[in-house]
Amino acid sequence: MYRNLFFKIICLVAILTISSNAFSIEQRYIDSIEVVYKTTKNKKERLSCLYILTFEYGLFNPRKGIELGYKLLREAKKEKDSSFIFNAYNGIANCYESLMKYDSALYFNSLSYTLAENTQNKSFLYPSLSNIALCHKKLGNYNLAILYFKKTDNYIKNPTEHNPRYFYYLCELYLRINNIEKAKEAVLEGIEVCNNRKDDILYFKSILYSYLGECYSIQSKFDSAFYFLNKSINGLKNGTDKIALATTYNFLADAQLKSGNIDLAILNYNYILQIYKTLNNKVLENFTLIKLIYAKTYSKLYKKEVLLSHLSENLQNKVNYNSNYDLLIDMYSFIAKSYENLNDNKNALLYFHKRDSLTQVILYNESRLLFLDFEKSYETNRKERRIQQLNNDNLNYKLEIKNKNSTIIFIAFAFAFIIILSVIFILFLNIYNKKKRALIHASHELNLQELRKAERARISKDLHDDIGSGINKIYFLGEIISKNENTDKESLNLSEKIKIISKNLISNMRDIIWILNEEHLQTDTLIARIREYSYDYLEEKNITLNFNSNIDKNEEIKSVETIRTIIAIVKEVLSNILKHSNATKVTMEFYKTDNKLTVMITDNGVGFEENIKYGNGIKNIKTRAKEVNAEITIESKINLGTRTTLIISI
Amino acid sequence: MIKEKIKVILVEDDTDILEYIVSLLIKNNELEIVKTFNNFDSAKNEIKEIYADVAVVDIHLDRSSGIDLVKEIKPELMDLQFIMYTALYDAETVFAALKAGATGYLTKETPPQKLADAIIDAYNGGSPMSSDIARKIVKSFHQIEKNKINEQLSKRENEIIYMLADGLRYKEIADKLFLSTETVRKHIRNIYEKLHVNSRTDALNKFF
Repeated sequence: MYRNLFFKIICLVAILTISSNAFSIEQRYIDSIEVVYKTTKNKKERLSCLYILTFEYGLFNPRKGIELGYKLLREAKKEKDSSFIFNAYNGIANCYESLMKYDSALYFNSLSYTLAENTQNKSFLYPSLSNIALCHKKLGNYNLAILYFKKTDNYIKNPTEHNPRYFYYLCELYLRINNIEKAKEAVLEGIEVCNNRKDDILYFKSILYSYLGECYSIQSKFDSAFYFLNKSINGLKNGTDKIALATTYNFLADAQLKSGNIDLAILNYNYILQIYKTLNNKVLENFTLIKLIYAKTYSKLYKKEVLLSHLSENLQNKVNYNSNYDLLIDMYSFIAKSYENLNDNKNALLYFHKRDSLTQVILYNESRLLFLDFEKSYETNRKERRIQQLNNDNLNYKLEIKNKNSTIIFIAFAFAFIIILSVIFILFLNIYNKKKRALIHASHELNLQELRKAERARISKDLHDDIGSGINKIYFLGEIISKNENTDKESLNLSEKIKIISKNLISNMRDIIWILNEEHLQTDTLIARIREYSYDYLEEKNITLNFNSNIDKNEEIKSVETIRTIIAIVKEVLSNILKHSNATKVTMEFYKTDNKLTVMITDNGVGFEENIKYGNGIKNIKTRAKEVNAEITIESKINLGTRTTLIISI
Repeated sequence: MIKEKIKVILVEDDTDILEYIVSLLIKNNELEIVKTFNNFDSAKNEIKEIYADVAVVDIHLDRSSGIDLVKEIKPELMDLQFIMYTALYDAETVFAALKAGATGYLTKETPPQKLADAIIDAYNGGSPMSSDIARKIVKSFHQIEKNKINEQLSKRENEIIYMLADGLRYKEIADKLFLSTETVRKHIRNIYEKLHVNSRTDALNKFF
């Protein structure tokens, strides 16, 4: 006896130290997560942090947990991330469960179940169904809880995939509705499943043993009951789940009380009380205290007056059970029985009455919920059957039509078809001769156009992808050479040339691709491009550009050659201005008369004598203009500037 | 207060060019290169795990297009700005990238010394827009005029886009409309945003 007590005290100290240590580790863990949450800008990471925090706070500060859960929900909805929305629902439900507000928890669990159903996410369906079932259990809706637990069967392939908890929850529920055979069945199945699993399930097996013990104890088979309960305690006492241990001790004490070992039962209740105290679980502590008093009422060692005052003291010291009706019903019956044993019939009646009315309310509620559930499944069934019927009708209808069509209609159609065909053929022959040439010509033209378009696209893509990036690479290599400290002067000059040439090539290539890509090129598009180019080009050298376009009517320029010539000449003129003129101001004007486009570029630079031999630039301009029969005039006066006029038919 | 550096990701399949760009950008105090990728697949898989402000993406990547990369990643990382880096500026391709959600583009002709400035500029809300692009935008907003779900351009934005289509530069537009160039830039960024939103709803509409 004393040894046993000594051992228990040691256990208690161990639990105390573990839990206090665990608490500080937990706190540090939460702190670190909070830091990550505050610093990270990655959305996914933020969501994960919120999720972890919601769950961690759910255990010891549920209100804060709920706050964070809502935040998570908002952010997850903003991101449209369904898995985090699901996690948020679960997190919030978890917090409400800690607060023992099971109706709110049920609401959020139902939301998560609906979400899982809509997204058809099987890995979500199982836990959300289990959570709903647990809430129903706590609310006292035992039948519904069983129903929801059973629903999870649909989402697993065989019983071994069940979470082992499934079995003992089911057992507990059957015990609540006094179906001991079924309870035993569930527990035995659970034990079998555990035996077939390879992972370490000592913990779950121990809990299952404790429920099996409870089943035997209710059937008054105390030898078996004690055997399994002790087996369970052996398995659990070194584990971390002290609540499970306390539950098993509770079963043990109940069995002892029932079999007449009142002193042992009282000792065990005291021990359970200590466990709940260290876990700081006020509700279960209060509940156990009442059970302890109830046990003491059987013992002759305690005076009735003392116990009565104890009881009323406990009842005044109000602990909020919230919506944990499961526990509340038990508590009321223990209080009532205690009063009965203490010969206070008035209070006993009061508490029996309280218990009965609560049970009735729950039963009523449950039957209503069951009815709703039933109605829903009935409706879906009906609709499904209706859809099935419609499908069948449709199929039948199609078959009928097919049958009718089979012979007569087919023949009629065939005749009609042949007649129409021959008429068309005769007509066609008549027209054919007339239109033969025109048709061939047109189709040929069409094909050619298509081909041309495809070819243009291909060339432009090749130019862009291969040659374009190749020249770019050359430009970059030139850049790298000129930036290298070891490069001598000569190489530096060469690399500068490489850069300039490749840059010009790129620019020309851009023009070519642009022309290839622009179908039905309009005058305004061309002018806009020239305007843009000229601005960017001259801006770098701080030359101001005045741009005037006096073209009202927009027209398509058909000849690609014309476009290229205009662009090339403008570019050449601008480059001459930049190189030789020292101009500060350039004016560019566009006119249109009849079908001729006039481009006039004037600068205020140094000019040159018109008689001198033209440089390469001007020669180029002249040959280009000549190729497309365009007029070009270049007027220049020393120190007054130069004007180039291009008149080109479009 | 120390100004936070702009975090940059580079995606460029030519390792020579990539190295060179890195060597240039590394000197700039306002930029921090957080990661570089030299192929499409690794970029696609890993970009999401990195926090950055700007991603400079070569349009023409080894096997695939940088545009697909933007299309894939932008919806998940709305904060990340994509700047397309292209060898030859060609309106067709650049427009596709802008529709996919890029907010800017740089041509490889950009003198390397100015590259850093261009990235900083793009990060601060500058979006370049050429007359070709403007023209395409005008067209695309015209086509969807009847559809009320789509975003429409405001009156100011319309004025600006038409001027851009005529080849006017930012400064000219600013002078003509009595605005600052800063404001013009903001309008243009907004136009890009709307374009992106519309192409997303267009994509959505195809499903219904």
